[in-house]
Amino acid sequence: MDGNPSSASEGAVLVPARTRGRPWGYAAAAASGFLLLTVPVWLPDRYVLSTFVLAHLYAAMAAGWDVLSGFTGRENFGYALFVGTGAYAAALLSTRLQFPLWCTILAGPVVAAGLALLVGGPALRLRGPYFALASLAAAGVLERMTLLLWPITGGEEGVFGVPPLSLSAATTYYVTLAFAAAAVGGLWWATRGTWGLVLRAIRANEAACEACGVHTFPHKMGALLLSATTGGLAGSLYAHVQEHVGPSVYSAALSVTVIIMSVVGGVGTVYGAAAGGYLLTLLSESLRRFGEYRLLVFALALLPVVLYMPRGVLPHLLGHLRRRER
Amino acid sequence: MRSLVARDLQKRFGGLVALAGVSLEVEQGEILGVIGPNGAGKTTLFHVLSGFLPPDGGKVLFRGQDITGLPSYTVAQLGLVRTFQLVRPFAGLTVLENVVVACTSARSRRLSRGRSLQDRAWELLRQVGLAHRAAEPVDHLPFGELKRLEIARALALSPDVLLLDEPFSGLSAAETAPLLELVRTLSQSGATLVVVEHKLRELMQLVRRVVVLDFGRVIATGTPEEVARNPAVVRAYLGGAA
Repeated sequence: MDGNPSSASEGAVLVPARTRGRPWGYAAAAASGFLLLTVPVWLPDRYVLSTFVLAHLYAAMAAGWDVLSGFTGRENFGYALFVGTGAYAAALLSTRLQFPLWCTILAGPVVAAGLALLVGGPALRLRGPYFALASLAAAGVLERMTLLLWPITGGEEGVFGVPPLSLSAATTYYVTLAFAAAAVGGLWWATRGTWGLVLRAIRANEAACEACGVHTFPHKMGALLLSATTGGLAGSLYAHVQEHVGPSVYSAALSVTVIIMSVVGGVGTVYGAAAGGYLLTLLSESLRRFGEYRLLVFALALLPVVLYMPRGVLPHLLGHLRRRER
Repeated sequence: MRSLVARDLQKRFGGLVALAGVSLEVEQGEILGVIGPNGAGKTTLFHVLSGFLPPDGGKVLFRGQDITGLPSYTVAQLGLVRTFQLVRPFAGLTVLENVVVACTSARSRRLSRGRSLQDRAWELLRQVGLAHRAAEPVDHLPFGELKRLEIARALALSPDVLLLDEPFSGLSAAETAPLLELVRTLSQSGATLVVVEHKLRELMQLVRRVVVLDFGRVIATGTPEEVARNPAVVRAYLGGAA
């Protein structure tokens, strides 16, 4: 319009400070995409591929956690609620009712989203430690339920004999990679424009949002639904990858792992959290040779990240490249 | 025509009576000043008018419609918009992005038909004199500019009535002047304004009519001169001894 520096279309965040890093971001995305696509070619090892399959799933979970918690500031300490529900839904439908594979995979996100609708109403009114505790408790309740309902869920043992996603390691690799790419890409696309700004404004000051006439609840619910759907799909795929589901898919350990991945990778950016998922899954696997000292080494590796890169690894590195360019 | 009417508003917090039956009327197009000593109930009055707190008793009528107890975002959507005494910027976002968020509300989209959110946000930033800061993180702004940003966000809703909660508090003389000018321009362009203010000198330059609150009651109404001569007002400001 009359000589103002804005020119991009609505939806794109066109503020120079934020767009300046984009070329580096696209280059990094293209390079990592290419690398991930070719892993089965130069590392056709079953163990390596299965590690990467886990990394794909964790990257999607971290991105899914980020879209609710990183953006709106509702820290979800029970993300396993969605992952576990997706996993059990797929496992039970395929073993007890012999549903076809595509059906059980889709059942995961559907059931998880239904659960999110159910708990979202009361839970999203909470914030800070109250939301964190409520989400932690919700996942804890379902973890107990898997034990109490042992005739159906198999109790501690869990559900065995879940049909595999595919007998070929490479196919499993590419299916889960496609899921991770779609989840991370989709969530990034959904939050890169105005909607992402509204979510971040909710984190910054919810009352001020409402003073601006923005009804925050539908936005929070939308973010929760995307988060739950991603977690549920990761869960159902996980069930078919592992061919077994146990109560650990509802565990606080899983929830906390997803949080650590997002925080280390970089909260509030989607791609940062996903990078954290890859980084920590691969790091944790490569530390297996340390045996009992593995967790210690893991913690030592994370310490500098928390101390020196409070925004997360990826935003930190991209910020460096941006500054060198200037 | 009366734009905003408060009838016998009451609000208590535990044993503390914040509003003990406040009634006031705001005429279309005027600037009404609301003054009173600390703790008189000015900010509580704003919270109740704008839907941030439900009143314990009484009614709020906005353009003839009963809006008592409606949620704050609905009140804002209807065109009764408030700012905060302590600025509440969206930290982590840039100045432009702060205003874009305010432009996403349904009312703002309807009233700016066709134009992109960014164009609208730029226009608002120019209006309050912050266009040169657009790309900066909001965390870098001094207090005076944050106050103007707060007003830009409120203007995104094209308010029929704008409630300004202590817009001049905490500002230096150099920061006050442009803000005073902005408020005057808004008023000249037809906006109805209600201004709560502690700084009487600035307020008296703006308004023709003042309501004085003390202990949650209206103790005087009139022109600034009338109010300044009112013995009850003098007593409220100087203490009970007078």
